[in-house]
Amino acid sequence: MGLAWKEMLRRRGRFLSVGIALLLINLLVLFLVSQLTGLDEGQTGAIRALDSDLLTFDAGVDQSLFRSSIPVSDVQEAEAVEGVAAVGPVGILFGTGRTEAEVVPDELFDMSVFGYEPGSPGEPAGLVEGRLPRAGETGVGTIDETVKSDGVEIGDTVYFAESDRPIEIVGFVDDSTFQLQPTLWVELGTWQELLAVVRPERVGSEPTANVLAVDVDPGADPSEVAREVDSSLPGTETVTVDDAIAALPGLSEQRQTFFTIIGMTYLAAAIVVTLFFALITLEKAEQIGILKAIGARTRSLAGSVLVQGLLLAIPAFLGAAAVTVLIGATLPPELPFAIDTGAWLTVGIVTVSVAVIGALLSFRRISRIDPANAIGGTGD
Amino acid sequence: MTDQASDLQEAGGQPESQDNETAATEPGVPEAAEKSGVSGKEVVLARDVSKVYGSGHAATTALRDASVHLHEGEFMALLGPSGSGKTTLLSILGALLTPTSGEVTVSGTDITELTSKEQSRFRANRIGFVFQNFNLVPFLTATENMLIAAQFASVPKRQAQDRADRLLEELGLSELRNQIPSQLSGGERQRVAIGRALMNDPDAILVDEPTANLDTKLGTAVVELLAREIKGRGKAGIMVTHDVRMVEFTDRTVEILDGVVCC
Repeated sequence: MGLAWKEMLRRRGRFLSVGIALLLINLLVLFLVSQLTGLDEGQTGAIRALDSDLLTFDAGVDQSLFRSSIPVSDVQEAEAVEGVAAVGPVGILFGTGRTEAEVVPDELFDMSVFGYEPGSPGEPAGLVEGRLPRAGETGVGTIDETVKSDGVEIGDTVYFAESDRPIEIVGFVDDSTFQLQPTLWVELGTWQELLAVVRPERVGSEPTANVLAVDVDPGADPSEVAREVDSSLPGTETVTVDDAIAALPGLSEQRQTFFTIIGMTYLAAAIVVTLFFALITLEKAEQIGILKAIGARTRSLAGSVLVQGLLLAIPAFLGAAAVTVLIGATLPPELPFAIDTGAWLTVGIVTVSVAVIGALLSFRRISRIDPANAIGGTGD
Repeated sequence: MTDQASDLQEAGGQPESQDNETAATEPGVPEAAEKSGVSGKEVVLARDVSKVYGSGHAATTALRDASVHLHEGEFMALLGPSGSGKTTLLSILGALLTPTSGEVTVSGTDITELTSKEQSRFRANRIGFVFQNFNLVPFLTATENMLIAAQFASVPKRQAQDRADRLLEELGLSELRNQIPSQLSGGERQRVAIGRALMNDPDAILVDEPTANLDTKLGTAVVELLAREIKGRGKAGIMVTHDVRMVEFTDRTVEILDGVVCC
């Protein structure tokens, strides 16, 4: 394949320009993919941080975390179900946080509060600093580390919405934002206090939570267990955490939008590569005819094009990946941006496939060039 | 231009000799000596070759019962106007086209029965082509342009490099070995093309209108060089041309008109 490489090296201009075009397209795709990953993670962090297998909702609320309301007493009944390892109540409140006792409108930040039973499912995973609230320890919370950029530190006090209940920060967790907002994790008693202030209509004769976080026994089939839970607890709907995430409002629409843009970008990449190879093949038709006449096999000529396609696509992808990492490192933390190796690998595979297909499309043209045309061409 | 012409004259790099017999036994040209061990061996033999394009009413006969034969060290001119069938005949002799009927053997190989893959191998190993526009690969150096011919014939790298070095020297191209075609003059390019044709020590050299894009002086020099190389190395050479002035460098002339070989 020396011929393919020498051509690229000595006709750098043209190969470099199409290579840069491919690199820029890859850069765009990787950036979009990383933003989508960042958005996805930012929206679902708290749900994933629950680190449980199933979520039990109030039936008839269409898996809405906000509208769902389940009596905390259901925990015992759910725990009795075959295949269930442990159950914990999870309360969710959505609102604003502040670091001052007085409400100063400009100093508010968006924040949700998740209440859970320490030691039970629903306790957040991903503690990076400090500690989690202990069982029965009211008035303390662990918060998502994104609030560090608002100047919140361990030992600070935060307040939720209009409540004047001080909550001391005792630790930080990562990747636990919900709808792109930091989550404050408190034990359920504290959460009930806040609920009474901001949603008094939800306080009834017995304590409630929004959902139940359910861990299944090792080896048990989660969807099987989900059905069992629903039949033991009338009026509930139990789904896997992945299904609950997919049902989050706007998430699948957001993914579809990004995938459409990414798909269109790839279409552009495919057209660029295919046209490039079609044009250089057309331009080299005479040369290809001559090479065939002096004994070159179609297979090796086509192989050259394939090698060139790979030598364009692979460095273009790697270059774009390096640039995207650099850009990602300089982005402000508020911008959703996260690198998902699996997604990047997919981008790389698609890029290489697009280049290979672009090269393959010129094979037919190459195979149809008749070596007999090498003789008697122009001056006859 | 005068420079180039005289350049070309010297470029043969072999003892001056217009005489086939003498050249063949010159000690300075090893493969010529090998080749002409059997003097006058028939290399190219075509008998009653016809080529018909299309079928039925639309059928056109490009070549009708053509017969030619060539010996080692013999250089033949194939003369004829446009559309006479000379290109068709050259293509058939060079295993680029398969005749509709007739028999073609090159050094004992029947080339009419070859598959396209075999034709390709055959061309790489046994035929040297010199094309109208030199047709060198524009991004390869003089040496590399010669080496690709060896690559297509699967000649080991080391051996090919030695061969190319020798040819470059013999053709007076040693200084220009690392130049790409755009850095070479027309005459130098044609010398590289001749080197490429000689690279795999072929049995026959087929030349297509070598002077079409050169002025008379340079054209003459190129044909002279070709004649010297073909005779000196004991190849069978066929040159398609419509320039009668070039005929003087060949051993004989075959004319072709409307697909029929005459004289």
